[in-house]
Amino acid sequence: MAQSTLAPAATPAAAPRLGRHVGLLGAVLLVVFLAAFPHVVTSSYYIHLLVVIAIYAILILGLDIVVGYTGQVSLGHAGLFGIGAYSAAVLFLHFKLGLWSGLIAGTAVTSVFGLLLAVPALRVTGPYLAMVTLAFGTIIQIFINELTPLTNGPLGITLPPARVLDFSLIGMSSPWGAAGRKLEFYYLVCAALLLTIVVVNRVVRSPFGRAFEALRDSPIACDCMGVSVYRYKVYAFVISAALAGLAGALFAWSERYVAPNSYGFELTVLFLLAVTMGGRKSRAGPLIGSAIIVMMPNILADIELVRMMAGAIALAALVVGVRAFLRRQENRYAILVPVVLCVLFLPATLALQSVTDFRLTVFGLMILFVVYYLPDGIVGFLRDKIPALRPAHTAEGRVLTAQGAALVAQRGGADADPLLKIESVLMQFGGLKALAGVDIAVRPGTIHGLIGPNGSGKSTMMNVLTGIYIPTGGSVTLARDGGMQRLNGRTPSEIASAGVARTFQNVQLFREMTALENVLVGLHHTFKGTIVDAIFGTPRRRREEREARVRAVAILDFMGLGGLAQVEARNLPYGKQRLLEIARALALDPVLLLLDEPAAGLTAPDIADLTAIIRKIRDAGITVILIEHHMDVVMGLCDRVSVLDFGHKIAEGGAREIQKDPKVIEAYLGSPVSDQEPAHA
Amino acid sequence: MITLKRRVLLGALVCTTFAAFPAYAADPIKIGVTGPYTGGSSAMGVSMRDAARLAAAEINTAGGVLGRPLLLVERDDEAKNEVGAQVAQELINKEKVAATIGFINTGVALAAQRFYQEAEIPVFNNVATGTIITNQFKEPDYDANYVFRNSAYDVLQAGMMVDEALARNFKKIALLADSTNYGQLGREDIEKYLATKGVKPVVVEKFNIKDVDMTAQLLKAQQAGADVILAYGIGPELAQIANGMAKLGWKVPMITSWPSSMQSFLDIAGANGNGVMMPQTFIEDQTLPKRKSFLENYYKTYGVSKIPTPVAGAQGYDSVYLLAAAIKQAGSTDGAKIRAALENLNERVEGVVTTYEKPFTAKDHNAITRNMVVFGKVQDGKIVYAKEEDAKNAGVVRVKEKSAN
Amino acid sequence: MAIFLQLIASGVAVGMIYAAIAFGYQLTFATSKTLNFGQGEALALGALFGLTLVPIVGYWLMIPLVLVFGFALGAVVERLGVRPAVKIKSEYGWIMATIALGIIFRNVAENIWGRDDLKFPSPLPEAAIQVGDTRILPMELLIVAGALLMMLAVEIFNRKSIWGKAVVATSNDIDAAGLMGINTQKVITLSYSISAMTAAFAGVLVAPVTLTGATMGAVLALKAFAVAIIGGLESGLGVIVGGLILGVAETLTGFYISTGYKDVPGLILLLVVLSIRPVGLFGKAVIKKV
Repeated sequence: MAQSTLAPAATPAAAPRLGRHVGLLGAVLLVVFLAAFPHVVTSSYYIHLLVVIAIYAILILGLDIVVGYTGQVSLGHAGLFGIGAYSAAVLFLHFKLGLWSGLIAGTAVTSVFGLLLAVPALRVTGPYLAMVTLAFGTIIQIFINELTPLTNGPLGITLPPARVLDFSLIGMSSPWGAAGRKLEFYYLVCAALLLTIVVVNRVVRSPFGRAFEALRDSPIACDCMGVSVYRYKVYAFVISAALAGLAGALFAWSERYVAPNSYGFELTVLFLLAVTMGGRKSRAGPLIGSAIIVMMPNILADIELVRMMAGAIALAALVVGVRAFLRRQENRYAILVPVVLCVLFLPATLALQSVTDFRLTVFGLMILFVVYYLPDGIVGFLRDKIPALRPAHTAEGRVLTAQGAALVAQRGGADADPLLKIESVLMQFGGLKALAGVDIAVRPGTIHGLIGPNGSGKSTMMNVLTGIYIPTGGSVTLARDGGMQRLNGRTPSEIASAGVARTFQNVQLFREMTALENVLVGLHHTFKGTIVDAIFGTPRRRREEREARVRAVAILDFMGLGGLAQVEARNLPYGKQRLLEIARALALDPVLLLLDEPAAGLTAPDIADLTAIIRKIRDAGITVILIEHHMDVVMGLCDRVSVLDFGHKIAEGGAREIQKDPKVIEAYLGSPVSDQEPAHA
Repeated sequence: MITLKRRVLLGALVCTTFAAFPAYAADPIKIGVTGPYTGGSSAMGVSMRDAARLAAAEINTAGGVLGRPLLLVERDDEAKNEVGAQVAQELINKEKVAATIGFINTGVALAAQRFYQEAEIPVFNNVATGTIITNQFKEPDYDANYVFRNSAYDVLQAGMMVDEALARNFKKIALLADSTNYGQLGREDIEKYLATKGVKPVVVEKFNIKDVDMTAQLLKAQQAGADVILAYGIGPELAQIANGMAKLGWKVPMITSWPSSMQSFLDIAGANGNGVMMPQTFIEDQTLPKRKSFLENYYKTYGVSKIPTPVAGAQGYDSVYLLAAAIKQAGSTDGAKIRAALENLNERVEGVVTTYEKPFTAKDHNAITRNMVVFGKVQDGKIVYAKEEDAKNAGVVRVKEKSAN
Repeated sequence: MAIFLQLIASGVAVGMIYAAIAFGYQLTFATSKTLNFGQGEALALGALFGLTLVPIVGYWLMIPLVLVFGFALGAVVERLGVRPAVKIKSEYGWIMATIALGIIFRNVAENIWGRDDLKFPSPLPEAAIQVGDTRILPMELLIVAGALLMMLAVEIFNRKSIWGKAVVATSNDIDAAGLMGINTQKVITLSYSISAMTAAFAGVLVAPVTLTGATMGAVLALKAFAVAIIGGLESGLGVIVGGLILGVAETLTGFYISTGYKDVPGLILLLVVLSIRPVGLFGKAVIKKV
């Protein structure tokens, strides 16, 4: 994947304003379309079709939070959908409660199940998660089928026509007559859809949405920014489940018949196809995806239409294939297979009398096509081609001016001596002692170097300090608020909240987020608003967002990244990525900053800048622990240096003393009497 | 973004609408055919559809109905409730069918036929057997019922199965049913009927579709000392029950619902299936000229030597003829008129299951009565008449009893 | 007691099939950290292919041909479904792609072999044999023996042959293996081939007891995944124990609780294991490196 490193810098500057308008325009058009549709197309068939599309879209918008934002594959959403539908239907069956109670119950009950699903889902990702959710969906289906007293078992539940507004309660007849009454449910679904769009929009642009994206791009960095991966995965699942439940309850009242076998594996795959095909991380994508999956069976039932489409697909594939070969694109042999398959699709449809029998094959081919050629979906593809459609990354609070100090004077306990006390820390992996009882005391306001040959235990120490490893023995304590706070045994996010920030040896940025957003994740601790604030866009929420953005820009300016605020992290040059990691860590307002080889891979002028920045950080009162292989950087910066070798501390002292220490020289260059090669420079 | 969504949606809507109205020379009468043509119960769906095609072709060759040809609009409901509901709406609102035949699966029928009821379009169940199907829209809640059926409904089958078991003096009945709508409704009907006879089954068990190991259920039945097994399910699972008994070395007579006549049962159970009895509306024999020509035509047209599910095929075939007769009598494709005509059909319709004389009334929407159903028996991979007198009278057409059920 | 033993005997046979399929998951997971979500379809295709061959070449000669077929099928899945996705580092990609390939295979199989489940001729007498109080089908014994034999054969291949050693090396450290001159891409393809081969073989083994049809693999594959997780995706012994636990749990639940809940204990066990010990009962905890 060749990336033009800095090209996007120019476009986003223009895109936000346009993108904002396109979003608004799209929303207005959607409202007009939904409002006018039943008056233009009066056929109840098409109105019902649109209702189903809207209901699926609600679910898929929720699924997008899990799939698009947190990057988890859930095969359990058909199960959640079923729970929502059954909650509504069971309420009617046993208590004769109507639509509104059903919607509330559907949403609430399904949220609880989302929470249940999150428990096993928390600890696993990827294929494991896919299977956990699949197993969950299967269990739900079995229980719905078996709990006959509650769910009426395989017979299903039939519901009467939904009564949206009951005018008889206030002794009136419906002001819009019988014809209008039929549309009440349609408009209710439309309202629910619009509401969902607004809520999802607000949530994904809030600190919650940023946390979701952060835990997708790098769970470890996310935890180390004080944003608990566990907690936010739960949030994502619960929000997603709530929407699935709402959709399910609406679906039950729309179809007026629920049965256990409606909520199986195929439906789940269909939802996933919709979310990918439409486009992840957008509102339009799920709408498009939903329309496609609902209408696909109708289209496939019509052989003429399928043939026309197959012709178009074959032509497009031919063009792509020929172009790839003419331009000698690298992937030309890779795409040969799908191109040939696409072309062969046309004669296949011509030979067939009906495609219904091959419906699932078409469905499977669509998934393959989307996975390989439209990984970002239709919306992603369009955004790629038409810059005006790109989302405005900083949609809210477009303030890009810095204000106030980048670095906040440090919090309580910063003047205690020592700030960090590492006492006989032992880290054992099986038989290997990566750290064999190390004692280090880090004094406040200093830059403390940690050096040693490869495999000496430096990175292990970093991971012990930030809670990624739990040490086998010993203790780590940090001076906080006049006392000493124990760090070992606590989670990375707790340690981060205590004021310990870090960077990573191999860059762990949130790749799909802009530089500004990366720093905003670091500033997560400044947000006190709850999910309710996020959904309703309360004044507190807006104020916090504004303040955080101003602060984030100040930090970026401090690191010399001000001009790159709107560039996605993955598109930054390597050196800038390293600086951005430091910026993100600084946003945590740490008392202690751990830098893991910050100069690795930097050019000489970059290193000079970096050195100056690290000094400034120390001068602002932040204590720094520096792991570095560039000896001139270490010697030039560090007030004190500890040397590790094979898990033991072999020396400690000022930079100059260390350089002369025979044990250090031996560790680096090998024993003077043996013929070992220099282990490392 | 959203503008595009709108364009895609509209485009697709326009396309589907456009494609739905190709120009026809003689404006045909559209009949919807809904059933599972893919998936587990497709053997029944496909037999029904293929036989219906034959009937429609025969009618069209003979000049059609009201001078217009019949056009079957076939839609796959995948045996899924929600797909069935969507298909129903598509057939009603988009294809504007005059009537619909089909429904293999009771659940799909229950989910989808309310759309026909609301649109006042007759819907003709030709395979699904759930007793409740024709009672879903009964008086007094509804003015008129648009649901008709020409398959042997569950109460009828259940009664026959129980009566047979009791007539043969079995005392300890084990009742096994699959966990679908179909099996559970059938189980309820059997239990109710048994209760009226003062008998309680010694064990009631269920099994899932695709289950291959029936050891647990059969062991329970064996433990309870059952001397007969009544099983409600479809071909493959019924066959596994027969195989499971063979494995346990335990053999008691087995009476099942009609689908043990499916080819899948015969293939899977093999010799273990011999002697299994089931109620049948149609046995693949060539005793009557109408049956002979139907079977020959089917074999020839589809290049087979056997109908995958003869009962579904025969009922599907008859349903088209019944409907055609009603449209002819109604003189129009108006739903209410067709319904009225069906409820008072003057013409004698010669089908392959039976000859229909006044098959329906306003109160009774089931064409099949108990006397038309015989017991079939598995014998070396074929379904034969289980009782000698039925075999002897195979050529006699049994018409509807006046005081049926 | 007789009933209990009968249930155990039935459970063991089913459990060994789960183990055989789960073993296939392990093979690909070891080399590439990916799984074929269409494993059930590989099983079904193997069985259907075998069914077509039996009348032509006879039962015993059919087996090597099915193995070859499975081997080729695995390579196709890896080529079309996994490799492109792994290249772009898309986890979502290979999960969806293998699911999609599974759906396509199933649909194509339905159109070739029909939608009815077909009976597979049994190479052994179909009458059950009496062992003490329990009755066992000869075919069930063949399943247990065949599954064990196949796993043993793959283990021997891994330990003795040069290709097998490359597979083991790649499993241990794919980067190091690559640096040692092992073509890890080919090794991954090989692991997929062997994996699909074991699935196809498992299909032929179970077919006489179950039925042959395009959908026969779906449930088996899900259960086998549960087994692979319960046992641990890295442990050969784990799948056998996991398979037996699940197989026996199912038949016992079916008899003592209700057959409707037969599938539940396995799935619950899966969720519990993943909540408490994601590496499985026999897996080793992995150290995450930063």
